[in-house]
Amino acid sequence: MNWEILLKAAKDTLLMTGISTLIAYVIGLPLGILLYITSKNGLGANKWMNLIVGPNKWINFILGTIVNIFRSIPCLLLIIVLIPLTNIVFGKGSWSGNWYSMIVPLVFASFAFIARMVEQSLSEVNSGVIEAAKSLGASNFQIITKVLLTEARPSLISGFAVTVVSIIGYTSFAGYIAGGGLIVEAFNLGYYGTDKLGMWICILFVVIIVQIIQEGGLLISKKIDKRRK
Amino acid sequence: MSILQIKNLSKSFKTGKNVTSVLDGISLEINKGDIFGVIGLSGEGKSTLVRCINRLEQADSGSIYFNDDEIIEVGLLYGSSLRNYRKKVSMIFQDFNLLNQKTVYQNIEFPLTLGKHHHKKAENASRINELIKLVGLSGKENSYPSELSGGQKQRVAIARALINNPKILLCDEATSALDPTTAEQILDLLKNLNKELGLTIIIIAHQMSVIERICNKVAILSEHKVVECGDVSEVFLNPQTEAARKLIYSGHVVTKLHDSKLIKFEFNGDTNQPLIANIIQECNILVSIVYANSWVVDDKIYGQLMIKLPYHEKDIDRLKTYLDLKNIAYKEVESDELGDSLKGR
Repeated sequence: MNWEILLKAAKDTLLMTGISTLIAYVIGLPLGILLYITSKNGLGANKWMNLIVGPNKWINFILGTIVNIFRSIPCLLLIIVLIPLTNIVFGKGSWSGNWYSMIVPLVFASFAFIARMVEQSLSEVNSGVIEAAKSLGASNFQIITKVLLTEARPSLISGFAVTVVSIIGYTSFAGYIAGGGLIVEAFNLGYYGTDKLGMWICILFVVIIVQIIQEGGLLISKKIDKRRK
Repeated sequence: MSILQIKNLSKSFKTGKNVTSVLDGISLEINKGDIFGVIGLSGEGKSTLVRCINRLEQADSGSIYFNDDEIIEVGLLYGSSLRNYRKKVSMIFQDFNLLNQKTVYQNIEFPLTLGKHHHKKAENASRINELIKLVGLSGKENSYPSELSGGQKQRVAIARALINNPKILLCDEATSALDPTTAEQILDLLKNLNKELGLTIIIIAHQMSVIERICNKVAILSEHKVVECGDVSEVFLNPQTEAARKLIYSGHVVTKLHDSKLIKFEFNGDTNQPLIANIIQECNILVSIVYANSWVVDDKIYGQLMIKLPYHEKDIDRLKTYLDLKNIAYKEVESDELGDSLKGR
């Protein structure tokens, strides 16, 4: 067992998960908001506003389909399908063995999931509150930023924790495109090699990371939630 | 001076292939300083009407004119002109609809953060604190809605609705989710705001008690139309339509009494005598009350009272002579007509 390799694997896992999550949220969050506001119960009930945003069957259908397609392709398949794109982004051959090689497939595997999580969180916001904001003269943009995103914050944060944990799970496929990380390292040590102890330590690291993110996320979500507990 | 004119407003909803009419040619005129009640049974379109006023709903036809400095046709507003109009016509709801993740102070501040001038923190703070005091929430500034009672939540909603100095406050069943005592306190608060700020208030309710307590004008909705409209005391004392009577006499079961005649008295606001006690004492007749109802409108008592006629002819004569002598108006009615007479008057 080599601590240097282990720490590097841990660092790789955290880096690829972190950066992929970040980029996936940059795409998934607005997409989730769009899914919500174009849905049947979204920001509407007003003829004039609906011309700009509001329930829109077609936009909602198209976005929903894109999201569903990406959610239905297994991560492993996505990695293989997206190898050409990874080549374009990082340059052919240069990414092999580096942590960032997984970013492209991870982002594609998770942004759709995030979009659905965000849509779900937003739809939990009481429609009466949105109506009240409208009646007080809020624009749709203000309703999104000042009502939807703030009222749904606890739910968005617990959704964030769930998302990160599943992205960590996706990193297990990194071995297929010569990326690294803890899960791949555990595989190398325990399956290809004979270092069972090293494998278990890798697993322990993953468990600890998942535990911290999941419980930490829930804790923050609860702490900032001002509704009755 | 009328501040809001509703002309021939109609709206229907489509559910599948069915088209249901919710508002059918509604016309109303609301004057500045009115506390205008709109009452009707559930499903008569009261909420839709009030939601058309601030354009949370769009009417199919007809128009609403808002008369502030200039006359605005509400149905034609859109974008920023609609948002500006909504700041002048704010609204409170049955479910309060507060922002749950914000404090009392932040909730009241919320409408200001939607405008261009929300950077004027100090100016805003004094205005917010003034309103907190006005609605009776001092000391609750930093509480969250989940820590408040229903009545307190509605007070926050009222303060939030008032922060932009609206001309009209729309109340959509604002006291329906509250217990009777709290509801009365909220109604009293609204009445005070009407007096002190000259605020025009439009109240949607399904309970007569709400209208009785604070409104000066009332419109009765039935079958999606305005069937009666006018001063509260007028409409209450002299309901012309079946729907109005139903609402006003709701809760009273009209029964038939056999083999007896009744005498009916009406109070129209200037009665101060202990009528029944006088009859008992001066005519020496024991009176049996069959029906009684009264309202207090503008600090005057209106109502009607029915008593059973005495059994002996002799007593009847004595009673009639007494009533004639004292110049008290009465009406003899058959017991079989009890129901009709209550309606008819």
